[in-house]
Amino acid sequence: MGLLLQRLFDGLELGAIYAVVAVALVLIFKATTLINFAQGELAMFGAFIAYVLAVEQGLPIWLAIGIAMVISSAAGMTIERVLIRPFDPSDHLPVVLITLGVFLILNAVAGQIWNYQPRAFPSMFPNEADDFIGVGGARLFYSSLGVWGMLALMMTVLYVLLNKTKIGLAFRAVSSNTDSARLVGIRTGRTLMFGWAIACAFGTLGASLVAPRLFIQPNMMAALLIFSFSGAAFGGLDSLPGAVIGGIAIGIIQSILVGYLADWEPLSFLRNLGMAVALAIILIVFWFKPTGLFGTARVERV
Amino acid sequence: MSSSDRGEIVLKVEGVDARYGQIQALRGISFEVAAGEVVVILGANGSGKTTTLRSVCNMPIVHSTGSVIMNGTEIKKKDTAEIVHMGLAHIPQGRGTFPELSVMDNLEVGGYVRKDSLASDIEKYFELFPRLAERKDQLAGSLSGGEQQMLAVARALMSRPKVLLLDEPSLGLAPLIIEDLFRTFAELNKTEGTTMLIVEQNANLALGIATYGYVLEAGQVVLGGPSEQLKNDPSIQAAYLGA
Repeated sequence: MGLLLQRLFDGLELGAIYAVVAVALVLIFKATTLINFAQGELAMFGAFIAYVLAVEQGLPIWLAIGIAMVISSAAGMTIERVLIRPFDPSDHLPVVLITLGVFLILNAVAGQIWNYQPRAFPSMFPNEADDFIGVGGARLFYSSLGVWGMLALMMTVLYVLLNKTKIGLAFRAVSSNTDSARLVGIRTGRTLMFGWAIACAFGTLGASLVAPRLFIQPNMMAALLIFSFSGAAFGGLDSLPGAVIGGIAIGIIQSILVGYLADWEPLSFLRNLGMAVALAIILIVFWFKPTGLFGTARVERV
Repeated sequence: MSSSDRGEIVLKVEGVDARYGQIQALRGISFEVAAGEVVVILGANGSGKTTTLRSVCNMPIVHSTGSVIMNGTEIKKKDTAEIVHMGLAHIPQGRGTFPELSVMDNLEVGGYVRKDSLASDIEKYFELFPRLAERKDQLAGSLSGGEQQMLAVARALMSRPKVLLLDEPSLGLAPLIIEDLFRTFAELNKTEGTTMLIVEQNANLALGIATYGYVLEAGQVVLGGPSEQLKNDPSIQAAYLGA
């Protein structure tokens, strides 16, 4: 019982972090039907900015992360304006290559500045070995509660932004039908900039949440991005609630299912293949439901 | 056909060419729309009707050149969104609603260019189209074809356009709904003074509410005149009115 609960808590915490990054991916995908390959490295870079502000400049960690999120938003808006907007949005190849280029550049620049040694990253929440509540024989760490709180806060902010503001309405309109959005007078470029700003801010938050667990270094996002993308795809790729549920599902699959399967001696090799198991499960979902759990099947009506 | 007896010209299209890749869809078309008029462009499939409207509001899918002047300003090089801010609205073929947004959100986003309150206009279109009021929280994508067309019309009118472009509003709708819709257009034109440019295959209906008409063939304007005159033109009767 204690082990199951422990794995559940663990999976829920990991899953919540995947969900934060999955939401960032889905935001860009919804509006542009484009996977932003640079999302992970942008997030890593943002977390490094928080690291510099907190560890080297001595700011409180939550303030450092807040400032890093603002800087990431500005960087995201700049990338949209300078690197994405000049290209024809219906031609995906150049834009995909650009996001791959941004990925490589950011990774190399971060390596140049901070090298590839993992560094300890301060947690926003009490993170000592005894900062936990005992629940049924398992340890519920304050940092897990903190991560869930941040996910809930982020989703609330996103809900209000998208559903209660004019720019949010415009963003949903562009996501639904770009041509019609132009025809009601929405400047689609500016609206997409807003999407990039939020996605980059949330990416930085996700990386800063995971950094205390994984340590911070330029390649930290590689695995996280794959799990987050799996979560987003699991949830349907164009559904924000789907991204949250998908991300959490991947975390739980990884922790509970892979955990128990690997406890059985003949399958112990699975312990190192968590990613493969997660991806296999997603493939099975797609086999039966090609649009993911909550994705919309697009039907063109003429 | 001189413009002087039609009143103030709000839309002047001159020598517009349009291409999709290698395919030339329009060959130097020119026409005018005067304030308060309902102008119809008749033409068969593939004659360039849709392209004409796309060229007027400069939608990115079509490469077009020439001159389009709206209320004295050249708009051929302007962004679609910019042109909409200047007072034009377009209901594209395939209806142009936002399928993943609710009916209510569709109407609100229709009034995107306005700074004032939208509540009274939303009320007005709910009265005009009670079906939309009943379905205001449903996603637009779940509406029937006729309801989507009503929503597209209301969505476009929410911006209080000075000029409204309509691309085959009758396409795929049941005859009764089409008649209803055209009655609504005529009423809007009379009460609000909205200038309309309609492209249609249904010549009977369109000429019924139009003040002026043009005929498009293979990307060229081949005929133009007051709708009464077009109705009595033997070639139009043969080709479009089934006489």
